[in-house]
Amino acid sequence: MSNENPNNADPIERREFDHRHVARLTIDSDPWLSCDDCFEQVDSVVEGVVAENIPLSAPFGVHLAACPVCHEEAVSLAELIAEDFNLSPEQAVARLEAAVEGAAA
Amino acid sequence: MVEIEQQAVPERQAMSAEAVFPADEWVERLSMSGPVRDEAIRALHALMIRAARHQVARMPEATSLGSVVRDEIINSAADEATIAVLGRLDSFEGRSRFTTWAYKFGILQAGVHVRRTRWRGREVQLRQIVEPVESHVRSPEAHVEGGDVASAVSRAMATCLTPHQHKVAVALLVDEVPIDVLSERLGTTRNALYKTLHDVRKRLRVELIAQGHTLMGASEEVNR
Ligand SMILES: [Zn+2]
Repeated sequence: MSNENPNNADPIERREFDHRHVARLTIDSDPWLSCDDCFEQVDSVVEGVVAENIPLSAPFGVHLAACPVCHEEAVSLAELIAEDFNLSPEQAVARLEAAVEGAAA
Repeated sequence: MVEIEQQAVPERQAMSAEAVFPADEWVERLSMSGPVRDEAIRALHALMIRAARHQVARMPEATSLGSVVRDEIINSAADEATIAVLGRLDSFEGRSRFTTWAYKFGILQAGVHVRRTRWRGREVQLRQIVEPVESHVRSPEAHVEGGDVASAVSRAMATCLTPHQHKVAVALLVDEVPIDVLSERLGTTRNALYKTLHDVRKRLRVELIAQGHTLMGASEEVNR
């Protein structure tokens, strides 16, 4: 891997650096939850939301708002289990997204 | 040693595995020996194929990989997820359905495989912002507020972060290197990189709030 760029040959000034980057860099990721703990909980939490609309804990909701990859996998899980609870994938995801918004507010 | 038959499993067959075993029998059957366990492992593998296929299908970045590579990823991810589930059976506490618990392993493995395959052969640059950023925000309103904050953020990154924090933040949040790719290249974990991001965000927030900037909370999603 060439993971160093000593000459800064591709300086960030040439790239877009806009409100999305500012938001990603400064989002409030407290209360803390690790990716490992998110993975430990994601099955029961997502099932609770999809099956019974159980609210997310603040740490879990904040983690999904601040960690794109865990968010993506939680959404994928919601889609996958939707039919087990007589929902469409879209309905299951809508429940999850609403829960994330509610927990992180 | 677990041996998993390499064969294509139609999705319908995979789904029927849930009906074959009542929820409370999965762990019991997978913990037995002989034909009962073999049958349960085949059913588990079918579940993992379903989860991996679902995950690969929903990832736009998998499209350009082609069907052969996608199938390889699905099968590899299902194999690894099956082994992971079997290795962690003791940790299943029944807080969700067994199938829901197992699916998360298939989703994880497939997602990691796609991200890393997509970036194979691509260089990951770890770099720092060396000068205050000129904003490229386009709307006039955003320019006044967002441009000011963008410049303040780039200055704070240069002064408040360690070189490691700075490079990780730029790679993940500006250059959009997938976290599983960066963790592989750096020989670390998703967990450790997210902790670095958490520390970065805390440092930047403290600095920017001290300067009088208004920052967003977690409710305004940034992860799309
Ligand atoms: Zn995470």
